[in-house]
Amino acid sequence: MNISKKMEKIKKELHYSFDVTSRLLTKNGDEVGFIYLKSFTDNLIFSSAIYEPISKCEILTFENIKNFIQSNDIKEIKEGEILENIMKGAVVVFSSSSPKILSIDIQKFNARAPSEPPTAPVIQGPREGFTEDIKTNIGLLRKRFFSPNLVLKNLSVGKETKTTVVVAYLHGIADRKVVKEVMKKLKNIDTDGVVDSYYLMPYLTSRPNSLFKQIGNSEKPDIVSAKLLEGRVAILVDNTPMVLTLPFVILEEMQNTNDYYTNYIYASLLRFIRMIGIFLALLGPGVYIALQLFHYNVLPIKYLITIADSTQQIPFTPFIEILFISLLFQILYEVSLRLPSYLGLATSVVGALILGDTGVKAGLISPPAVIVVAIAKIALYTIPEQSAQTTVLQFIFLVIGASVGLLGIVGGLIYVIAYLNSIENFGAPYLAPFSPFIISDNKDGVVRAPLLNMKTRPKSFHTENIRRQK
Amino acid sequence: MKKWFSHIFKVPMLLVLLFVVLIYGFPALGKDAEVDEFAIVTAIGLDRGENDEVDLSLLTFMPVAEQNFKENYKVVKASGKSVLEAMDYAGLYLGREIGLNHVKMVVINEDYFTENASVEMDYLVRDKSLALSTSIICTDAKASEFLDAVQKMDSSSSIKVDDIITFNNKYIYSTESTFESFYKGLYSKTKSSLVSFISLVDNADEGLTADSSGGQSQNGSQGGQSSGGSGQSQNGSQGGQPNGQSQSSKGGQKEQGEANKSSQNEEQSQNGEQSQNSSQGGGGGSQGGALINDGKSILCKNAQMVASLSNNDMKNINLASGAFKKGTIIIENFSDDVFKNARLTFDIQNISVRRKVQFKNGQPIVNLSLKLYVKLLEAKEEDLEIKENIDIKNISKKAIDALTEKVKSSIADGINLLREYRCDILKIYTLLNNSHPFETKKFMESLEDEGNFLSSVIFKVSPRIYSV
Amino acid sequence: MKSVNVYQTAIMLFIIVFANKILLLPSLLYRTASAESVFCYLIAFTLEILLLTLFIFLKRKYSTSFSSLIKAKLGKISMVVFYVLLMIFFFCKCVLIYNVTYIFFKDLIYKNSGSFLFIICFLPITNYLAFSSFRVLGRTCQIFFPIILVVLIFCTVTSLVGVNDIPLFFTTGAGDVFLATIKHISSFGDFVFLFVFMDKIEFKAGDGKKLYFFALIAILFVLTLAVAFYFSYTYTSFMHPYAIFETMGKVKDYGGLGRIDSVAVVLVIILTYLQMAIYLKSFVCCFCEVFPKLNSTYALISFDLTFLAVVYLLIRNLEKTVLYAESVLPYFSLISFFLVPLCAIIFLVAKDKKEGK
Repeated sequence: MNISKKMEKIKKELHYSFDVTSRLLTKNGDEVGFIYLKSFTDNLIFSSAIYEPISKCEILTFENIKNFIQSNDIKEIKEGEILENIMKGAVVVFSSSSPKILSIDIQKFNARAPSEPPTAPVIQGPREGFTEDIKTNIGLLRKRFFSPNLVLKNLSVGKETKTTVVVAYLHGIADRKVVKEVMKKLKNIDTDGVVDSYYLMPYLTSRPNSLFKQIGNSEKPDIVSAKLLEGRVAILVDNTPMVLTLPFVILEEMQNTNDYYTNYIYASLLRFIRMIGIFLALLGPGVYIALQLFHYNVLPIKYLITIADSTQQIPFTPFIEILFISLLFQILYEVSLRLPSYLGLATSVVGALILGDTGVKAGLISPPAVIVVAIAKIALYTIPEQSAQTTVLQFIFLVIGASVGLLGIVGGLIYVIAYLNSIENFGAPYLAPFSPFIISDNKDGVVRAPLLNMKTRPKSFHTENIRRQK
Repeated sequence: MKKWFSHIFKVPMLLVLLFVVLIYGFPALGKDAEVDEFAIVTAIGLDRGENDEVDLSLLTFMPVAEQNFKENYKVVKASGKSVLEAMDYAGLYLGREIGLNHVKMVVINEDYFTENASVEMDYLVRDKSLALSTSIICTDAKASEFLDAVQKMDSSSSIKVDDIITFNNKYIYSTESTFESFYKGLYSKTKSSLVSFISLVDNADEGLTADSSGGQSQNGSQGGQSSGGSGQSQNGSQGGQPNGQSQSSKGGQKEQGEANKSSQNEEQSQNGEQSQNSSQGGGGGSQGGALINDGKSILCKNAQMVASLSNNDMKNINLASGAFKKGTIIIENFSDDVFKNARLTFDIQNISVRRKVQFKNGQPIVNLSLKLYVKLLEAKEEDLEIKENIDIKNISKKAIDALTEKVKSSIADGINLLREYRCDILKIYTLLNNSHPFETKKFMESLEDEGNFLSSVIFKVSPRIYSV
Repeated sequence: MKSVNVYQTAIMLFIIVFANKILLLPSLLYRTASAESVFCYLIAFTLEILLLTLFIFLKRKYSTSFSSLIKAKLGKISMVVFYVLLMIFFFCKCVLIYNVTYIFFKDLIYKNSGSFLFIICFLPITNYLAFSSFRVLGRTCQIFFPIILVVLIFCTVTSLVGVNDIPLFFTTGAGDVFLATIKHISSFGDFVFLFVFMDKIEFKAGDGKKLYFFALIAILFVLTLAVAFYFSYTYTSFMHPYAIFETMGKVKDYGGLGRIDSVAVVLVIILTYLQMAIYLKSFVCCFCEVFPKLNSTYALISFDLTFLAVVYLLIRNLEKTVLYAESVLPYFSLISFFLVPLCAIIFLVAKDKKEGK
């Protein structure tokens, strides 16, 4: 088949998309064909490093062509890989003198520079964040490990998207079995596309339908590096700044980057407060409604007077009232997330001042209910990574509290804990190091011990080298 | 749909949650708060009504729709053949169930204490929502009027009656007067217990007039007995119990002669001179009566009142028990190098009592070793000459001796009072039995009247005074 | 079934020690043994510790399950009879704990709620825990252990704060103390659950100390609470059915904290859930031994149905519960204080003889 026909066939396979560009160079009866996506390749590099040098070549043999191209990203490909290479921003070169095909990667797109991710701002510590470009992300990781032990293995996932997925781990530290299992699970993914790393999560966890997050994620290279050092495996996915880490235990959500860049006593205090925060967020509205509907008698008279006086004029029953306020807060939260920042401020004013204050003054909602819901909603964000799960549980506990009171809330809590105890991913018990209780891991648990005291890697999952420092 | 159902059955707890929501969650949407279903009662009053009915008064918190969280109380009255029936009627009137969980005080008219008061308390004790640590107060007025006064006091000022009672119980007179203490006493050997007594006077001003003289001056004015002898003299009234009398402190033996007068006078004052008492103690009040909380108590035997004890009596008893936590001791007409014919007021900083029992010839001897830490804080002399602080603080040996005598006589007074009424408030029987069970058993068997065993117990008091 | 480590076993032991001993029992014992009731605790706990000692000895010598031991040494029929009795024992304990807690809550915080509310709370949760692996149950107990411990310390300290009285001793004789102990022996004998899970407990040399330590700490808590109760209420102890709640309630001056006795309510709720789950798991285990062809679902269904029938038809109030606890249950408790120890001793001796040969 001559080159023109080959290129025509490829164009057809690419459905004659407008940006599919082909060029044909003829010299002394020899033909060289170029085909690429003009929207995804660097035209300047194409003309200066590929087209011009080849056009100056007297005899267009395959070897000459290969030698004249001024690029390092040059490789020979098979016929079946042509489309994939074009789609990844490469220029595919055909020569009439040889059946071999060349692919030169001159992909060009506007990647943003690494900046501080909005999900994990720090007061002290590095402000770099991963970007959507996997190469940049790999670079960010590589510059933190000058050791040859950082192993990166790539594969492509998704029938349509062919997304590049890179599995990173530290050789000699990470458990090989975990790496093997991760690779196996990734290879077995049969989906048409992976748009974000989140799409991979259900394929990697033991309970894909669970409410609870079972794989860690981070936008920060310093966090991912720390997790790799703990013996975890990282999964980088192209087109997303979110890097996955596993095995995952719930304790990781209580750990914040700032904890490691500040005094350990202060960090421990903050972690303790975070725990209180999460309990307030989970149980606050539920316990309040349970007390109102079932157990007024356990409230001291002084609190009872405040609650009784303030709820007298309310037209709603306590459950409806608290549901209404909870929904209102959730709507305000959703709105403020999606609106531009200048409008977000306006909604905050409307929400906090007008709806809250006027609602109380108008006698539609009571101040204690507003306070309880507000505290619970604010407390949700003491661990922002878990806010989705906590919000759902908050509503469930609210319903349980209103339905069956304190007995149900404690029962629900026991159920949730038992359920979490039954989750195990890649050999790591979800609630480790609390249950099973691992003393050494608790040095970085509810309290954070000084870094010098953290001599071992986490024992809640298997690592090949447990010792971190002497 | 089929998949959805199969998924739900795979997670049975989801099914349970759905079930709970259906059965309890949806009805909860229309459920009122419990504070709207229950009338929150903070005090109960019991009076004897006509035809042996119970007049029940409930001090009930009434929620008000306003933002300043005012404590609005109302006294609800109802009568019935039993407390429970009256309670039901009160509930009907209020349109709510009666919630007794927050009751802090039960006021019982003294009429009930003329017979077995525990009969009327039966329901209140059985109802588990009423804590047995709830205070019981006996009053000479109608309990409903008492609650009216409490209501005005609670609603109009930050002074709460139960706070006053708690303070009184905890620090001043140490009269634990709760259902608990009442029944503890009732089930003890001598079936005796103490109940706080609070009077109600019509004239509000009287109630508000505080006179720090308390029971001490009461004795002085009544019998003219100024020094420690006044208490000790009561030994005389125990004519039939020579043991207790002869073995008590030295101070007591000196002034035996004045016994009868003093005790009689005191009883008169308790029963007949209510108004005189009313000028003592604190307690606030407004229109419609004022509460007089002067530390008085009633002594019950078999849940029946046998005596009314003044605050001075209570002080004397509590000196012996060591429960006297705060308060004053006054010595009248004291003279030494510094003072001449002065009235010295000592503040008790701390007190500790060690009680030891020994048996001699089958007779129990209770040794009471007291350590009193006092501070001289007030001295009044005829010539009104102000002494320098340093002089006041250095209490002379003579003063300490006088104080020792005063303490001895006070304790003797207290013990004699208990002997007279055969009430073992000091839990002497428990002390004897727990330390010498076999001797105690023998001793009790040797007595003609076991209930009067206190008279056969010898008390040895040895106070040690320390100036702080 | 996945195994549990010795710490989780010790925590379960700790939790089960409190079953029914800090709520209704102190008051019931006082009716017969007065202030000497503490000695009833001491006698029963001594027996419990002996039971634990036997378990530790047995565990050191055998790694197989208790059922296979009985089967091997005494025959299959003995094993079935034995495990049926154990099943009944665990069932009765479950019913007793549930009833006591139910009456407690009905009196105090669920005055206007129907009994179905309690069923819908307790049964699904305990069923879930019993249905999950033994490891999940152990780990769940482990998570709640710090909360239980902190609340217990708080309750114990608070109950000791208000003690200002001395009860009257020497009013009852040794006979009364023994009578009271036997009458209420059904509230003890909880350590027998260890035998049921014998093969599911990871046990190394020296682990026995950990079990002793946790058991003794729990016993110390129970004794302290009982002493605080008797010293607080002396003559009126019989009037206070809910010991731990009432010892906290007597502290009148709460300061700004409000009703701190509600802390005891939360403790009772957590303990009841976990204790019922342990008993139910033991029941399921016994059921599966008796009916090896049936799985735990059948065990749970049969438990739930019988439980509902007993709770709804037989015992609904405090009086009946007490009657049932004092009259019927002590006979079933023989299994924990007589049959199991007897078997354990036989197995230990038999092994010794074999080794001697």
